Amino acid sequence: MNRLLSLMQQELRLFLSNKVMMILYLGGPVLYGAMFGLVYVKGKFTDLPVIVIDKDHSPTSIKLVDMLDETDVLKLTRVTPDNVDLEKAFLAEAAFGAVVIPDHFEADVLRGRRPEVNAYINNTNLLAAGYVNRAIQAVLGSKKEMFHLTTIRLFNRASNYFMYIWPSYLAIILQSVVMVVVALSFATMQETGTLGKLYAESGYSAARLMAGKILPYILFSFVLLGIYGLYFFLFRQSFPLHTGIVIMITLLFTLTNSFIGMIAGLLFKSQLSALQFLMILSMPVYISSGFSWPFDQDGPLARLFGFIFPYMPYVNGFRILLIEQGRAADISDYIWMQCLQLVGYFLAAVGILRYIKK
Amino acid sequence: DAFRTNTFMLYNRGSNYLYFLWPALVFSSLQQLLLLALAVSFSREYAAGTFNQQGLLGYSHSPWVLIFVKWLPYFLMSFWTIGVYFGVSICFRIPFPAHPLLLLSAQLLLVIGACLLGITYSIIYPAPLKASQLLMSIASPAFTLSGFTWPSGQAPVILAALGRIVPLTPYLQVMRMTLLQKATWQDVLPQLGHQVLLIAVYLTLAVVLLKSKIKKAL
Repeated sequence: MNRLLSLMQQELRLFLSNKVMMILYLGGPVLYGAMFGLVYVKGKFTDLPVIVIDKDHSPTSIKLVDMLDETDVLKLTRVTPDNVDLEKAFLAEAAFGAVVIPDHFEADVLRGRRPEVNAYINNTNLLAAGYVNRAIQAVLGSKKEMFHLTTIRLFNRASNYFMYIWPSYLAIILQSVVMVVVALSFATMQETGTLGKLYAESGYSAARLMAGKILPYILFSFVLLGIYGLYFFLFRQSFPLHTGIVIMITLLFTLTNSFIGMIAGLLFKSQLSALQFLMILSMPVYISSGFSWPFDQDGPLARLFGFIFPYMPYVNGFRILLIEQGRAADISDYIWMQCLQLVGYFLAAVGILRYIKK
Repeated sequence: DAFRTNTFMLYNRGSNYLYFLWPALVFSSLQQLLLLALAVSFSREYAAGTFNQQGLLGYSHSPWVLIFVKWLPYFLMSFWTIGVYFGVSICFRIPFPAHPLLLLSAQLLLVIGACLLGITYSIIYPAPLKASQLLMSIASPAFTLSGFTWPSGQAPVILAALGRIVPLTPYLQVMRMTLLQKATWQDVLPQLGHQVLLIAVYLTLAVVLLKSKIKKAL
């Protein structure tokens, strides 16, 4: 029994000596439990942006518009009598749906001709699209005797889950690989004590050292991209229309991730701790990225968390390029955010490298 | 109209996404933490050169005792996590299970299973870094493979089978049934059996492998 106790004592000491693991193990559930909860705290979507094109503008159609406006789930961001290019409007206004009320709507209803009302659903995010569709059906479906309701899905028309979820998985894999590989490389140099030598070799220039260490992995990530391209082909997914811009945002993404990996590799002096840290850190990035649960439906704290990681702007921008066939201008906000993060992490990495070498 | 159709939503009537996803996320991160912590349990001893008569084996030669010692601290600490889960779930007003003890037993079985899986890895792979990296490849896709969002019957057979050897999979099934469908012990017996089976398999593997490692070390 005594032996067992001393064994346990030893085990506990081992656990307590690994500070990273201890903090993560005891703090992780509190932090992540709260953070995941804060993302989904509302439980249901509210105020999802929807456009209404009311060509009739009659008392009956206005009443219909009011009914749509009254549901919690929808928020009418624009009500207009004019024709709108919906695919463009969905891109520019990030709307999840549109309802089109035709000309002579009231007249046709009064004559019992059952006019046709069209609901367009932006199907890029299947989760939000489901909620918008249900809310529109609930309002307009209750007036079936007055008009036909036709639902048309744009972008991922067949609600293909593969097409929806796949880009996010590719990005997660790319992120983990780049971060971990760079972190391990820096941590190894610290373990073997070769960082100082390499720093001297690079003429005491942090930037040159970083370029030398990181560039091979960036080149390597292009090989990964090539493999992904092959998978697109194998799984019969359509290629993004504007490949150049995809490569550009991917480059920003991998660079930022390699800086994060470098920071972890410098701060944690052993490969193992760096790996453990990055694994736990990257657990919630998908949840807080707004890929399935739109970003503006998050609590503010969860939003802050998403804003810190390069995954959020990348995966949202990538989806617009891939599924909505967007252009650079459609994702300029995300690109700016990526640049900002790139600069921030670069400066942090350089600062830490200089500090350690002193 | 020839007839009318009525649609009734059962269980999560308000289609509340928080109730649907949050509890699963908490336990999928718990599994990941446990795997990560225990992946280094024995490999750290090999790496530090303490897996011998002067070090760890000086206390005991029995694989059962050694596994028990490695496992117990994490098992006890997991009460903290489970406590936090219940506390936070009250804050977020997650439905309380109809049979809390049933859910608690499934949670403890999950903890035991995940610990033993981590221990088995750390016995097989002598380098702590390698053990962690390899476990990462299991832990990361575990949630997707568990069939919690994309039912495993809809996935290719190989991936569904892969999901079935991870302790998280049967646990998530029990959790959904107890939280939303008010399941009783009889309802979740197959899932609990699945959990126990996984534990038995991992424990046997760990003991056998550790025994041969001990023999070699002595």
